[in-house]
Amino acid sequence: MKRYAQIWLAQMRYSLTRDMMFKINFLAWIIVDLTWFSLQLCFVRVLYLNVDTVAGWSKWEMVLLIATSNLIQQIFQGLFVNAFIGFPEMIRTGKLDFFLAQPAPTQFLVSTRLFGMDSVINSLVAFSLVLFAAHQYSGAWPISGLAAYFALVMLGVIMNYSLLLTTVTLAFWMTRAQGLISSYYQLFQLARIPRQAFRGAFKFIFTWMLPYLLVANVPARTLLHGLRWREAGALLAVTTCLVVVSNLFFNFGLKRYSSASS
Amino acid sequence: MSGLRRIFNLYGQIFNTGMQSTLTYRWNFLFRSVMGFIPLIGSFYLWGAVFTEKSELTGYSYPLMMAYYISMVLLDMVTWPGDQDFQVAEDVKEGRVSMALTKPMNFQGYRLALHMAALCLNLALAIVPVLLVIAVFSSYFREVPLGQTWFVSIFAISGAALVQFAISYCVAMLAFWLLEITSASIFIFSMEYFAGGHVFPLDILPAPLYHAAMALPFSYEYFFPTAVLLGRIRGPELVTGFLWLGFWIVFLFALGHAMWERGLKKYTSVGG
Repeated sequence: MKRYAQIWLAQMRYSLTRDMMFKINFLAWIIVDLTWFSLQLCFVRVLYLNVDTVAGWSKWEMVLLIATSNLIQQIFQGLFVNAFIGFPEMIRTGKLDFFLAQPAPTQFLVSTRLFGMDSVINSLVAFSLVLFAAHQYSGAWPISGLAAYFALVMLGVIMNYSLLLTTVTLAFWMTRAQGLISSYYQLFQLARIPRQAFRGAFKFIFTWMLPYLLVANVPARTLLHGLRWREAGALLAVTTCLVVVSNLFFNFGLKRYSSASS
Repeated sequence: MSGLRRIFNLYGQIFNTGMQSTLTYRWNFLFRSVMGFIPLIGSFYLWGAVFTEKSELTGYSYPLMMAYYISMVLLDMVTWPGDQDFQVAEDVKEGRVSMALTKPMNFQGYRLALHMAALCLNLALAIVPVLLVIAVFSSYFREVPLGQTWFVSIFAISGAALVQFAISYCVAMLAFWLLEITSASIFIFSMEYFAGGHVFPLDILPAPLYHAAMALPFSYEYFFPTAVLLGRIRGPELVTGFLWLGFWIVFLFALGHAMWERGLKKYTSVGG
């Protein structure tokens, strides 16, 4: 475990050095993500100009939900997304060979090879808004629920990791697969919608198979209304299953890899 | 006459190459198209919850709102410019642009011919799913005067495809000055997404914001053709819209050309 932590830290140090070499790019990413986040909040503003609640969620509850989904996405983005973005291209060009030859599990090396420092700043912005929205909603700072909130946020990050790993693993079969990452972002949009708005088969699918309706909803509700063991247990159970399935699928895909050199 | 024929032959060949290249990566297109329906599911339920509180919202009923989102997804499926910004940027970075410089053709025209080929193939691949979606969700289109709007929509959709191409080409040209265009590309994508009307119809915004959005090129990529199809924009507003659309096409193509010319002055290529 200590060895893995050392490898990860070394990869983080390398990424940070790389980020600092391209400072404008680093700042540009912070601005892009903050713009994206602000535009989502604009949507909430437009929506609540016309109605008082959506599926029983008031404006500040909705802001908290969006800020929570953004927090999860930023942590996830910082830790893993940059590494995954280049993964389909690594398969196509045969650069994956380099990772196969290393004395550590390929999945671990591939997943942690790049760290996005800009996401740390954007995570802090998202978390500040979480606290502000919670305060606006209840009139008090939500200190007591923070530990459970963070545990659930981290479960959300792990869940996202497993789902994106499964998605990019498809690149072993698809020759050009740049569209895969954007597809993940399409799915993640569902995390910003109150679960109570969904009905029927899609509620089941997006709760139990692709649990995007749990990932931000459960921590947001926990912070406002306290821990509900049933919801938290569901998130834990589904995340555990996804971790196992994504690992098996990745190893299955890896067996199909045949490099690209002549 | 022979000069004109030569140009047709040249760009016809490029068009063919583009068709073959897009066909090679058809699974990417199909996967992306299927995933494009995911946010639509979210919109169904989110707006369903909104319309339980109200039966009408700034002129939209629930079926009309759904018709808007369905049309938006279908439009996106047909006019998506692909990852051409990244492809061109990669060509600039790797020095492959040199190959285009030695050939008797206009680079923007070359990329446009490739893009048109991809669009034709997208259209061919999308036609069955599009008809299927319209048939399945026909109840949402009952309020839409498709008989009156389909013809003029073809022009609005074609114009939207040109604006999308021109914007992605301009973003690609940034590669002459920036090492990495991803952040610029995502920034433009977020503007296209929100100011283009992907997240909500722009005409539910307060009037000043709506007019500000309609002065930007992004609204002509998505909102304008969709609103024309749904009959939300008609009369003098339709004429003004087409004038803006024409202006943005000319401006963005000229901007792309100017960026190419300026970029080439900065461009250096090493090696064989």
